[in-house]
Amino acid sequence: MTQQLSNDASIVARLLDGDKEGFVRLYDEYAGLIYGVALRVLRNAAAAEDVVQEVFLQLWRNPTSFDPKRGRLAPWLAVITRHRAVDSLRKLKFEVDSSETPLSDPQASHASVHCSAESDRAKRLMAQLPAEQRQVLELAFLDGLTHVEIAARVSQPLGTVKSRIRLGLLSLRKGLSA
Amino acid sequence: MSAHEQYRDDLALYAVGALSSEESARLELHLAECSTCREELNSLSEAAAQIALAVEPTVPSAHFRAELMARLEEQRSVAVAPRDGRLPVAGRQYQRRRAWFWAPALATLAFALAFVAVWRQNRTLTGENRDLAARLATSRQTLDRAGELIRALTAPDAQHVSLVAAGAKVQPEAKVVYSSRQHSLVLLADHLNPLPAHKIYELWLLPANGSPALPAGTFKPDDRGSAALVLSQLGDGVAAKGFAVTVENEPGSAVPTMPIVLSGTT
Repeated sequence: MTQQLSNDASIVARLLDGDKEGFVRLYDEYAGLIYGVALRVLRNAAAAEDVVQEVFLQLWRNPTSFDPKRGRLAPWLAVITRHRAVDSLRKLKFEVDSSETPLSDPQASHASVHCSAESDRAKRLMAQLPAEQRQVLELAFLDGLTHVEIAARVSQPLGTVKSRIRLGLLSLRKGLSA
Repeated sequence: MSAHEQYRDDLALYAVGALSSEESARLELHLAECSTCREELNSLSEAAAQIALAVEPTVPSAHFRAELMARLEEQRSVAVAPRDGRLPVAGRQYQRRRAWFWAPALATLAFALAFVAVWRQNRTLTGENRDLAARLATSRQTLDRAGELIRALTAPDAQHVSLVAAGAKVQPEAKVVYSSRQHSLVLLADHLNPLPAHKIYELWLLPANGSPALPAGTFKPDDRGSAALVLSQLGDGVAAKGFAVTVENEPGSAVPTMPIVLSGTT
């Protein structure tokens, strides 16, 4: 069954049929990824849970919002979770200092998740980046900062920040195609 | 320097969400007419997804899982019919094609379903509490008023009158009222130029998070240049920073074709 669900198109088909068991398996497969991203962006367990709920209910109500022809489910879920979490972050105007705020949720666990292959590759690609490139990419994508805000945060000229973001993304892209 | 090189850095910044709203809007105008940059953006966005995928997965608590599954049952009981008629902002092509044609019917259906849901809920409770009977009446009145509004907006004989400064030249114009929370959108347009054969106006939602423009419905003006578009089950609650209208080949396009004939920001 897990094998069947690993096929993104079949996941959508099952949700379209209102198959609750399919939804449960989808949840068990991807909840770790989605909650991890939301928690990293929001640094608040309750707000992150709200995002997780929104993402899953969106997929339940409207499975065709994901189109298997345009990409894989894991990156799509990671990106829409990021977008929703950053929107929520901006709305809630959390005053977060990333160096001081704990990321852990005492009730959550880092138990194994099924989409670990994609996750492992992404971790490897990010780890291969120079630290200054990784830092600006995370400040933009996971902390929701604009390039102007990033420049102020890292005390570097705008041109340097832009260049680091572009070079970092190009390296990730190259790693994906390798 | 190639024609696209000036956008090189901006595309990377856009892919990681690091442009301001204004900068994003400017880039989107270019993206709408440049397939080369759109392709570049798609591939950079795929790379950007790795940043999120690299985050350490964390499994939510069992309590949260149980709550979500319970919520699922509620969603299912209320949302079965709207799911079938849903008009996703970025959905399948055939669903968007039908948006304009079915909009009034869907609006009516949505209100009818909402009414039935409210009525059923209240029927059970009215026996227990008289106050709920009053709430039922209020809900009914609200739904009736909304239904009347929809019917008035979309009536064949509805007259659309634009008031402008005396002597001012009348220009094509449209007004959009959009609620991401209610998944609803109303567009009223007037003085639209007639369309060539096999062409149609298409409305685009410009997401607040900087994502590419999303198709939000198609419409044709009547012989007076007026048009109305009413969508009551629109998409996934995407927050909008603006809307734009383009002319597309029938039955509509997945990406906007320049030029933009009408645009506005929230």
